Amino acid sequence: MDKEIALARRIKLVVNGKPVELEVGDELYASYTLARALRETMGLTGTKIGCDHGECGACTVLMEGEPVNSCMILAAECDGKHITTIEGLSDAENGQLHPLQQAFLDHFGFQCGFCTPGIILSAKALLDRNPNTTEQEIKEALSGNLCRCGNYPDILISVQSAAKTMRGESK
Amino acid sequence: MSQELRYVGKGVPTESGPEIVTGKEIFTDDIQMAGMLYAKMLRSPHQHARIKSIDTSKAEALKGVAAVLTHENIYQYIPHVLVPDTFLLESETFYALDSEVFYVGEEVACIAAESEEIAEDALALINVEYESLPAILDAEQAMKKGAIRFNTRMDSNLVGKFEIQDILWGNPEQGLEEAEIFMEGKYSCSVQTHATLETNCVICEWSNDELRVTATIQSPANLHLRLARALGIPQSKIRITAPRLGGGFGGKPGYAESRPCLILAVLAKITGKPIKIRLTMAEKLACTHTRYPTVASLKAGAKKDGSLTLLQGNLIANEGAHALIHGITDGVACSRFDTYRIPNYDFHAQAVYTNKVPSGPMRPLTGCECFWISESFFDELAEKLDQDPVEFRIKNHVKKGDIIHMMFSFPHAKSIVPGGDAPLLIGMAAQEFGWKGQWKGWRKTLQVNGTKVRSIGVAVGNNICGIHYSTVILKVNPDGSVNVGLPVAEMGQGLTTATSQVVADALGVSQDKIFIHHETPLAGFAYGSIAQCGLPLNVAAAKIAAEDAKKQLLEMGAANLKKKVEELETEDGFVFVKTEPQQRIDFPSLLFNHGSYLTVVGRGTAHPSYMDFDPETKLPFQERSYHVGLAEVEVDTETGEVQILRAVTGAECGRVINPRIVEQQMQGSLIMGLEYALYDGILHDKRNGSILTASLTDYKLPTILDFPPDSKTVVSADPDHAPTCVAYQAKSMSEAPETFVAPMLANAVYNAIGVRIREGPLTPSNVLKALGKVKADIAKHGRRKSHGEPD
Repeated sequence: MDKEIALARRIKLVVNGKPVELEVGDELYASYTLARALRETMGLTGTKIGCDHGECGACTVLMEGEPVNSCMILAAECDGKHITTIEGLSDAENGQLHPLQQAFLDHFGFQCGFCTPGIILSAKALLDRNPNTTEQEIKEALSGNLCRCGNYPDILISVQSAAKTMRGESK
Repeated sequence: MSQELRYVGKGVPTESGPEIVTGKEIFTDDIQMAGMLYAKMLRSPHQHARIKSIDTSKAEALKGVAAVLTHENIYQYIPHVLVPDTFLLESETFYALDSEVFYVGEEVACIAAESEEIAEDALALINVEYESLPAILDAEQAMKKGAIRFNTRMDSNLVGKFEIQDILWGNPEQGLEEAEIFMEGKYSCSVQTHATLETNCVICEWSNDELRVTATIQSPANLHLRLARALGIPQSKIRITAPRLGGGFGGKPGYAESRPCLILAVLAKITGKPIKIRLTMAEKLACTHTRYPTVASLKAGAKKDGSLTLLQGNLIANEGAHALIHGITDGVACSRFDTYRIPNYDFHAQAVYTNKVPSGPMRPLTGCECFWISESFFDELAEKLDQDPVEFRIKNHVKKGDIIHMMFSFPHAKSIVPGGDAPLLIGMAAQEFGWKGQWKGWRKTLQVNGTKVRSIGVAVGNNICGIHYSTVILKVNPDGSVNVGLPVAEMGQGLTTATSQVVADALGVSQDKIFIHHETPLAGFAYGSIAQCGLPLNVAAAKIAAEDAKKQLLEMGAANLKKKVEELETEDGFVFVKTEPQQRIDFPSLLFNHGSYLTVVGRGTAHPSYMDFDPETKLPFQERSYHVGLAEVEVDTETGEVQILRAVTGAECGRVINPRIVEQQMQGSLIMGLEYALYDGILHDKRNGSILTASLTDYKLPTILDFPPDSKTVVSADPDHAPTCVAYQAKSMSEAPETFVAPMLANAVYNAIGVRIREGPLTPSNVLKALGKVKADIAKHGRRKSHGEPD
């Protein structure tokens, strides 16, 4: 991106339902990825940076409801976008956890927890699209999110349980 | 019989869970401070070179650069001393920064700047003139007389070692004479690395003359002492906090943290600002440490009835350019070869320095390397004896009262298995697997479907339950809440959950009243979240402290309730009369009557051996956790691809503190071991030893699609199996479960294709090479060798 143009630009985002306006330059380095802007400019450190190259999925956030590797997108390119991070999942008013968050708690969906925010968001995009999802669809939807602890069986159970809740079959 | 407890034995969820699922849990890199500087390392492009000159003037002149450190100026601020290694032994090679570099990627200089971007830009402005020196990469070559030395200050490439680390028992000549069947072979395995998604990260700041460190560190207490020595300041002036780690597996025990810590401590001092470094994934993969490239030549003898008479062996571990755990590698490697009852041993192991990226601990230190080799070898011996491999292992596996190698403990060469029944576990797992109905004999397939063949295999593994000792500080506050200072890190292994379960039961409080923190020097001392120390040492120490606190509370309660101590019990934060539970007093009331806080120290030891000797043999006890795995694989003989179809894994882990955490450790180890066995692993550039697989595209990790479709765990959890483990007879479950996975798959692949792959990994190219379907050079290089290229 041309530096002059970048410096002159203000970008507007909606992050977790709240409008955010940033000036590219002092407030936001033109070279910042969305991941770094979320973590360092907006203080939303729930989004994790693992490989920083789009390989591990730890930085997954939702852009217009779709999962993206936030380390692979420049923040300055996100003008006008709606972004959801892990901080925006629970109910803003009463703090009640999203069914996916509750399921990951109840079913030991994590070990170290570093990949968890990204995995929950990838799963949310899938279940929002279709809560009647199959095991294979869940696995494919999460195949871009690495879990080095290898907690995959419990992650699968957690997502299946959340899908049940979202279909209104339990709780 | 085991007593019924309120928390121990239950699948209690992780206390940090609500923070983790909402993104609020703080990992090291999440911490930002006002005025914080960011550091980047300049790394050596040479495998061995002398730094003739470094010109940092242009980098220093760049706007936003605060300071640059090199070997030329760092010793104005700290003593020029060798940094103690991870086990606090004297290093032979390792300085904070050096005028000689020993591997590609070694730190040469460090830049502190206002942003990572500026620091990165400034790296290119440092001008280094190197004098290239001869280098050596192959460990076997490096052992030879007159070999090129990896380090010009060293007289030898052999890592200094302790005298009695080899296993030399019985009478090897007699073992040779008695043997009727012999087995010989040379084996090697591939190289795995930790690849934690959270890379290594360190923050240093000074508060007056106190150094405060926050780091991704598995062993904060060890780092504490190492930093004090290398910085030349008192330990009382250093405070280290270990936030939750985004995975450890041996990748964060101090090597990748200690050098950045030393350098950042100086940079923070001279700039007066807090400073952070976060390694990139490329640095993490290519410049920290990996498993040991290991090669071993073995010879065993046995009688026709299947009893073993002898093991002879030579094992060589490529240590790379620095020894992280100095001179211990070899001894630990020896202890991986004492799984079976063998009266005569002549076994030597040697760690050898080279100009490769350092090797080091990984789940567990040398364990997966050595069990891959030993369990492949003993499988071949079982075939020569024409024995069922499960029966061979049940017959020969060590159990209670047998002699094993004394890992980590230098005054004794031998120790005794204090309890445990691995043969029983092997039998249980085999039954769950349905081995008897499935086993058709050696090299027999279960099913052939076109080019795809299926067969089964078995292997065992084990690891020590902790090393040395741990002290834990426990405080009962006047409001009845409890703080526990654990000198080790939580990295997803469930240590804090297990500790709070045990403390809640041992003290008689509700688990939600307990908070656990990980900070030196106030937490006590332990070697770290390494060598399966968690349960047998730290949780044990916390239990001892809780019991001490309970005893004191009962005494206070006895005075208050006018009863004898024996008549009282604690529960849910109350002391009550056993026969009249309504007669009770809560902890806060007792504590206010007795001067409010109750602070106690608990000490747990890994070697009750130091006090606890077998009365008959006078040998010390050594507890290990024993494991077994059985698997069915499918090999495509056309593509060479190996698929694991199902597995039964078994753990002999004493009493289970938290069954869900046990399951998680078994599952995680299975998939990590599967990656070690079947994937390429770390690949080195043959020309300069540098690591080529420096991204998660090139170093492939398993995804959720790769998990075996059918896996079960059986647990043999009789508490009598762990008589020396004081935390409710619980054994460690964090490292040993990976040890059997690679040989389990290798043995199953052997039965499927009928050819033994002695040089891992079980990649498609190696399988096709074993089947004679591709030429050796294609298998090795993934392509045809170009003209003049070395092998």
